[in-house]
Amino acid sequence: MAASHVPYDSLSDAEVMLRAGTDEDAAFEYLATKYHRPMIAFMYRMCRNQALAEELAQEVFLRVYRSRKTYAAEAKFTTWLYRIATNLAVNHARDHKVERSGKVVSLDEPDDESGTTLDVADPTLNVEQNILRRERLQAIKKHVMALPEKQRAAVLMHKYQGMDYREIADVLKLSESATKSLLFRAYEALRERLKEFV
Amino acid sequence: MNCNDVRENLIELLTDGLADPQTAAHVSQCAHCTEELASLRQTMALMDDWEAPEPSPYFLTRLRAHVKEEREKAPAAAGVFNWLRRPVLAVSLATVLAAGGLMYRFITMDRPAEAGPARWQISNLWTRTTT
Repeated sequence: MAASHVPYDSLSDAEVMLRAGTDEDAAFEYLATKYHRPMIAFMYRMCRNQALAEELAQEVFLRVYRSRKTYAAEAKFTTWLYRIATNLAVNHARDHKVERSGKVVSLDEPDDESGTTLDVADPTLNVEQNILRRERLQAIKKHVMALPEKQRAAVLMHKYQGMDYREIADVLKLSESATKSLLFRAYEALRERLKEFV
Repeated sequence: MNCNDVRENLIELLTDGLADPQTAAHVSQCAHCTEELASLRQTMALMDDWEAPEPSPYFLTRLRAHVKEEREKAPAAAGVFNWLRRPVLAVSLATVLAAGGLMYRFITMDRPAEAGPARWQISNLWTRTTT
């Protein structure tokens, strides 16, 4: 993927993707560079494992690359990108449900999946505060993960990816009002389950 | 507008402040909805604690390698039918198919459509004797 002097910033993502479809590798490189961080973050929160998140994000961009010639700019590029990502993450979770069920998360030991500690202790807090912070974080992760698939994806796109109702509705192939209800139910559930931490 | 009508709009009020003015007006006058909005705001603020880790610095390098593999794989996968893409061979194949089709038609034109082998022989005999 060679560098290019085309000012992709001045084009819409969909226009850049159409250029990628003509084997303009720099166009694909531009999109991958622009979206790899948010995509990895989204995948990380979908699967709670950094190594797996990166693997799935690689697959998302490869699918984008493979489909470059058939891409039709009917929807926003990000809608298409997150639809691929959501489908991939949901299918992966379904395929590995049995493996993950019954897993006990330890607050003290490194995560056996990612090999990293669950979160880094905040040096400004004392031991007790750090334990509380970890518990809170674990509760957030656990309860977000416990949401039904569509609710989880909707919350993650809304809260962390900064997407609006219309975009989320397009990704999940729902109406805007159905998305609104879906998000409301998800946030209500989280509010109820996390109330001891607020 | 009552509390039930407003509930689903509270998120909009929190995220971009673009909820419809009726929702905002109701919330400002309703203690229950104000409390609910505050609780929802706290929950959403709590969720800010969940930060995603930094991506690996090699992510894009790995992606470039995968893309390169993909690009190199593509012509090989199409290789089986590559010969069809050559115009001369494609025209030759089309000619052979067309000739085959014409021959088949020519042969079957002589034969009565519904006649079996025995009937065909009899009808041929009859044709020969009458001419």
